Amino acid sequence: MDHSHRALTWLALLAAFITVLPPLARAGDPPLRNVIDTEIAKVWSREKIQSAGPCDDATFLRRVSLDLCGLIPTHDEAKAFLDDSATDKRAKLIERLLDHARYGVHQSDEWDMVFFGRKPPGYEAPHREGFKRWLRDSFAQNTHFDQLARAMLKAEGNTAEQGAAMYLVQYDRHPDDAAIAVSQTFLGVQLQCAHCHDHPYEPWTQRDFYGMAAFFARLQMVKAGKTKVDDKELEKIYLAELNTGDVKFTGSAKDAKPGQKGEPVKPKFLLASDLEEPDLTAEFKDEKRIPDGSPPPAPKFSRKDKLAEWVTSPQNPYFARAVANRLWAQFMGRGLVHPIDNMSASNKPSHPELLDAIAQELIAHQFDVKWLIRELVSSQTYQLASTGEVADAKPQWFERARTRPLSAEELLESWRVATNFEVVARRKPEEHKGRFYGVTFDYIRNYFGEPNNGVGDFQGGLHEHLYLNNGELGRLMTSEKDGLIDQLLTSTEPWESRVERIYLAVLSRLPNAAERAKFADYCDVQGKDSQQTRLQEAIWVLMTCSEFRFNH
Amino acid sequence: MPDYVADKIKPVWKLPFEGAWPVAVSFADSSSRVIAANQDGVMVQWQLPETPVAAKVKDENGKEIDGFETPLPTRQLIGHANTVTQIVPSANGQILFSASYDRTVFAWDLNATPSSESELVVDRDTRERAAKRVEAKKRPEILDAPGVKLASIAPVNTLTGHKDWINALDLSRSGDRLISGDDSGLVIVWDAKTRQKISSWQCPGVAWIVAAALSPDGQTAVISQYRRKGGDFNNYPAGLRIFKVADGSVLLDVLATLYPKEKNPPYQYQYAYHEFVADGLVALAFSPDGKLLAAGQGGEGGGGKIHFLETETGKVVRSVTGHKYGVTDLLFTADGKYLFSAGRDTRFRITRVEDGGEVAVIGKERGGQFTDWLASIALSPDERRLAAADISGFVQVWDLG
Amino acid sequence: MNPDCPLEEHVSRRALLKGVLATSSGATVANWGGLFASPARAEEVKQNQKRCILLWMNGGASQFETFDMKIGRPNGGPFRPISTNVASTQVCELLPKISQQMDKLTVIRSMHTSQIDHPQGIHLMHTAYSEAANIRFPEFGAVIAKSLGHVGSSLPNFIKIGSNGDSGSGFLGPKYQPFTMSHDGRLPTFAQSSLAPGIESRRNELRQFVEDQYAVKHHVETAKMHREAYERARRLQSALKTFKIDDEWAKYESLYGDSFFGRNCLLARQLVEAGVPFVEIGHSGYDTHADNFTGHKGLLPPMDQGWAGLLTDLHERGLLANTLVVWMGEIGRTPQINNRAGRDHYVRAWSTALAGGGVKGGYVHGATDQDGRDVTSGEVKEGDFFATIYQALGINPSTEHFAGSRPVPIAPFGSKVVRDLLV
Repeated sequence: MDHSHRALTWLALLAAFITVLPPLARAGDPPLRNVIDTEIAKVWSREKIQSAGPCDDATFLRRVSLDLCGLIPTHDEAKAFLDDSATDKRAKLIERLLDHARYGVHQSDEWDMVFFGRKPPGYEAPHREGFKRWLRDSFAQNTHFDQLARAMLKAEGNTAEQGAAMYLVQYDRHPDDAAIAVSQTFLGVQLQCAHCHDHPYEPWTQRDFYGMAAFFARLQMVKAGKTKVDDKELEKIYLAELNTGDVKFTGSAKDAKPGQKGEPVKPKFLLASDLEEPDLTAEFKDEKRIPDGSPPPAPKFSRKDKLAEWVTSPQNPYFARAVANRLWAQFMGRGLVHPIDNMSASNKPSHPELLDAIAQELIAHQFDVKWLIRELVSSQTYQLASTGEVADAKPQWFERARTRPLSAEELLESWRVATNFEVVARRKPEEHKGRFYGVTFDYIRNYFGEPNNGVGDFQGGLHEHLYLNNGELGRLMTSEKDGLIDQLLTSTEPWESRVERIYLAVLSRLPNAAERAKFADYCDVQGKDSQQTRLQEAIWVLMTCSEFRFNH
Repeated sequence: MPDYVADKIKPVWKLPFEGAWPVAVSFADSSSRVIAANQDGVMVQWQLPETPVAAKVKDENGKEIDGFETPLPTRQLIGHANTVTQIVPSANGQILFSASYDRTVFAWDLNATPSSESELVVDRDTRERAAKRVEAKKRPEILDAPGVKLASIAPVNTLTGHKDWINALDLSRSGDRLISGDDSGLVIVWDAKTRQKISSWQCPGVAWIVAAALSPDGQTAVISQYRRKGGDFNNYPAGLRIFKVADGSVLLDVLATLYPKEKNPPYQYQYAYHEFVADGLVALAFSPDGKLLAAGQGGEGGGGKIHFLETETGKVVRSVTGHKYGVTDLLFTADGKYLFSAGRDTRFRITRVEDGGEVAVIGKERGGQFTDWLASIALSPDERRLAAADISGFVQVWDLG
Repeated sequence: MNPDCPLEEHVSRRALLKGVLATSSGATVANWGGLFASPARAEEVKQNQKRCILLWMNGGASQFETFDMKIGRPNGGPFRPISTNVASTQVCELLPKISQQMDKLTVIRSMHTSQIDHPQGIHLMHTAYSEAANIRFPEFGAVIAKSLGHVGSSLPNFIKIGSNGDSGSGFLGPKYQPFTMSHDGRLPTFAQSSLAPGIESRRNELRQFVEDQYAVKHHVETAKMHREAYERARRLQSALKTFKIDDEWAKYESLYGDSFFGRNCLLARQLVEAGVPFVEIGHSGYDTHADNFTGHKGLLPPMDQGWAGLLTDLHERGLLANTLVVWMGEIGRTPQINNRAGRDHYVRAWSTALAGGGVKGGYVHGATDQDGRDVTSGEVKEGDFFATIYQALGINPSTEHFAGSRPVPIAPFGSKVVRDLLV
């Protein structure tokens, strides 16, 4: 391998990525939220685009509650927020939500989808309660993102008690899959083409692919008994690392012959130098698999730890940008580089200066996730309306807010909030106290778990509507005490006021005149039974309509 | 009749019959004449000495041990073209009946003058193993060495009429009637002497006839039906019924009695499957007095239970367990005191009929997680010898003490 | 209609959508009919639309007991071959009805695939790919639904009846999820409304009002898709009769045979006739590690009759030329017979069969050695198999779909279409 040539390529690539290097954040600089709005507005004027203008308070309340805590606000919260005349009420709301107990729950739901996905086929991946608990606590405590990533890549402790090791455990015996996933998730790089052949239009070669896979070649699972996490018996799996073992490279897949042994490949950082490592082959000749039963010993030299340090280093050319782009996309609907996990030279950012600025500031703030989220949702860009003529749900120039489908968890838990079932359930026996009690979460996961096609666009699925139309929503519209139906039936207010309550409870806004009249007319029938039926239908309508289905 | 004692039961010979699995076996008129057949339809007879001749033989590991001279077959019964499922001797043992997947029942006269000479390799597996140990050019010498020269006979009668595999064949204890049943559900009862049809009927449903037995007087027949259930048949794939031979009418539907349909429609036989039929009641036998019926669960899934039922009522007297996998064959002794059974655990068992007690469990499990089968057993007329068809390529002969 | 002119040039996506929207409020007729001014025109499109029926032999049917018999060999088994309506081609005696449809069949005796266990094999033979931790591949039913399905159809475009595999639409998304029925013909959970029609329609009217309110200001495609999918769910209610065969059954029972599989074959015919591009029917129980022969003797006859009935019926209705009927399981079975009279898993050499749309009839592709241990000619790998299916259906096998930003060809890179078996 010609190293000087390689080094040149690397520099050229770096230059291609980082066109303008803004100075590091200093005291007195404008806060990032202002940089965001300035950079976004700059492109509007360049592209001659009219923005949608700011969203109203009700829209903001629902949007930010879902984005930060995964729930719609309650009727009372919505009413209080709309009635509040303070000018800084949005900022106060943001602070309250960032400190909310639900913040960690929701952020970990979101990121679990990144690290595992909805139906992960990986080793032991369906049993990752330990990982989920760790992720939830990490977000709740605002563990900085570099620490979070380092914990997953170093995989210390076991999958049940500490949890983070589960991330790599899912790629048991598949160093190639691990290389692809780590590159994609933490570096925003698509490496899989190089698995079989040199990438046709990106700088990475098969050697790069195998070089990354080599970091995972010596990993081995060790089971060390069981323990209980959240009432579930879980296997304690450690990720051990041997001192010997290599991935084998046989050249281009199309030239592969049966019986070929392949050349061992040494670890090599992506488009960078080889890993310098001691030669332990003599010392660990005939090294055996580590037996199950007890926590494994640390290796004399750990390849994966070196990779973890390299990936999460502030000097890493990809990491900060990849994290910045992902968090941006989470709140703005699409990445500054789109798709978010294809940050290559041939796929340029829409706002290069802005991406650089966010990455630099993220480094300056030591990858503080909560800080970045605060800046994002405090920006005027985030607080734009989603209404208007453009049909794209993820507008490229961010001139209006995106429209995103609620996740399975958000949807079910928001139905519980809307119907006040969440309050009714508090009186139920202990075994009914779960987040998803009320309807069958397996159905919700199946029908609403993956509302997107392969490129992240929402698709209308037949099954979700069959569930909405003919499914279990009736169970949440209980007439038990304190439920929304009960509140409405026992109310003596005129129907117009009761319709107001329905709209605030379900859609977190006040109805317009037409809606008020239509719904009052629909519900104003003789007899409690008939009223109850009509109310259930009316609430069903609001809980299944587009306005509820999306965060907008 | 003397009783059987486990530690008096000794192996005598392992008669080699390699190649396709030996699956059917019978004695003829004496404890010296054994006939066996395999899945290719090859059928041979051995003439065994009254008293075994002592000799050194090789055990499973090739070690020389004390044993007896191994007789080779002397006669071949040429006719069947596919798996022979049953061999049944006539009352005096001079005539044999055999049934096969080739859809025919043959009657053989063992005293017939041989029509020709044939040659048969009975140690094919042994030869192939030996050939592997020598260099390639010496292999043909081993593999193509002459086989055993046999006098061959042809069947004296071909009993035709069956349309599918015949798994069921039985002679009444009176010796005058023969019953056969095939996979199309067709039953034929024959006059054992004239070999003419007496009666014939079609069993209900799509299930195969997997076993049949005639009462001692030959007036009633019990038929067991089963079909490997594919998970999506609308038709019931099992039956255990007692028929009147004269007109083929059903005297008793045992499964319907034990598991009334009303209980759990529409999967009437769900319970019957789990508890009673399992993978098919593939072995049936009437007690000599005709009062009891023994039915053995075959296949692999049922745990090899043997049910004893009252013929009159269908009531289950007891169910005996013991075989690790399915039962393959059942025989009552002439006095009705004992039931011999063979199974897929390479063993045969002797059960006391009176109380279901275990008298002896003979043989060693052979194979891995799943074991080789004794596909069929036969008792000599004096009930002092037992022959068993062992799928690993020989016929076991035991001295019962 | 000019036969060289593809359907989409005559009936654009827009026209299809319009056609359905026009009928969405009234009684909708299945996937065709309402779209076209004249019934003759609907008939024309119906005749030319490609579609696919998969008969899935779950557990892996034995090639030795079906299409690649090894008579007289030590492990040949007890079954005998029978002649077919194609001279010189024989099949197992367990397939008497199919033997008389051999002129419509391409048998592939030279499958050589890479996954020997059930879950992995089921995944492979539904998606053309081995499982990977980072990507969820779509089943070929979903790919065909996407390629050949109708955007505005009342019926689902991918229907699975009592079959296996849970990859579904994978990264293609919920629009192509299979509509899954159980083997006894039950509709999926929640498919049917339990509301009285009066309540249903007044509730729907209120819902329409709410959607209209939202649509005034919100113009995103996303919400529009949500509304359209809702309409599809509503239209499905009126198309549910297409899933019922009870009225027809008496007439067809003797053709398809009295088994769930036979009934499901009739249902599949009814569905493809109504325009559904992909229907899969499962038949379970082929994993005959024990008692392979009685196993196949029990399973194959009803399957034989259902399959042959389907081919006959499709042929008589003029649908076979455009309907590809695929017969396969996830694996083949071993040449050796184990001590349980069973055959175990085997993927070095096994058989599948294709019939109808785009493939030759009366053709046997490839061969194996005298004991069926290895392919001796015409090897077909899983990728080649799927590439050939796609080609037969007029779908370019190198079509790429995107999993995130990763392009994934519908047949794996390097797969070759088996041209010899195509018409």
